[in-house]
Amino acid sequence: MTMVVLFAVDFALVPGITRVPHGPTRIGLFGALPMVHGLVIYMVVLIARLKREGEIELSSGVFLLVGGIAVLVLALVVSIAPWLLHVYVDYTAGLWIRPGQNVADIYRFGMGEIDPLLALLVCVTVTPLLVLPAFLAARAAGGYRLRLAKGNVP
Amino acid sequence: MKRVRITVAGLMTIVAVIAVDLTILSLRRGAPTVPLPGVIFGAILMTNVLAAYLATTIGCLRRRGEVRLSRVMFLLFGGMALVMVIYVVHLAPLLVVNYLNNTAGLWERQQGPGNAVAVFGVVGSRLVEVVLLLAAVTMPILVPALAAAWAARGYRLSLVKGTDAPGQKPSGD
Repeated sequence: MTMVVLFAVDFALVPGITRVPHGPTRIGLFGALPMVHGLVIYMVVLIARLKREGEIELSSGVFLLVGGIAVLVLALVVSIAPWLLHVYVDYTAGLWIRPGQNVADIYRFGMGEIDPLLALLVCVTVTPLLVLPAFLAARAAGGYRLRLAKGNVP
Repeated sequence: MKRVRITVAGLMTIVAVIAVDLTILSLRRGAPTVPLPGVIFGAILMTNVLAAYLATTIGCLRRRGEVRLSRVMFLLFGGMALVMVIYVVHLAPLLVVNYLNNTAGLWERQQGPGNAVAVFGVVGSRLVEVVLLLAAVTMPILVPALAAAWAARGYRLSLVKGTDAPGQKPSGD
């Protein structure tokens, strides 16, 4: 059901991204989608595990938390300072120029339609920004577990 | 009477939140879409609440070793709602303009023709518009967070030592 809901939300979201006026904002919003999907699925799995087994690893919770904060920060950055993402894209995916062209294709991403190859490039460019801090934080929180118990904290 | 004690860590959190707020408020005027500056301003209150609540929750978990599940759910759903609001502002700005006009804009419509709430931040704004905008944007973030926190009441999360290896049960401490 989670997958169906995610696909349904995607069908509503992705066409809307082509109407966003600024290139870096389009790249940021689209590039964050794989991480958002991963976090939503992981959250559902964790909640189910917490309900079934009564405990989860702290690192899983921290991955979810820091990943979510990273997505929020990226969404804010592409909203109020899109030029910051533009600089990042310039030095990563912007370096790849197709043979016979003078400008990187990534700047045309989402204009009119979404090219699957460019979509993949955008996702590969943006996802490490979100995954790396989450992984580092999860690694730092290893060795502990969160256990669900009944009753309020005294 | 219980005295309010502000720790150095708490003070540092407040300073960090104010610094981030000032940065966001100065940068939001350059935002490309029309309702975006207003919505970002309106969401700042809830962002501050979530940031402060997250800091106290982590501190509580570290100090006492346990925390109420409702606090965690409030943070989780509040954060999700915040991300959702930013996505919706970009992907369906007209929807947000209509929402603002039919909530905070109702008061303004009684005063005369205008669209100041939707274009908040682009032109100068009065105090009453600031309060209305804060209330209008806070509600879609606060309500799901409160509902999730209410649904998760009566449980708590305890921090226990134990390996992450599958199949191994943690120690009871």
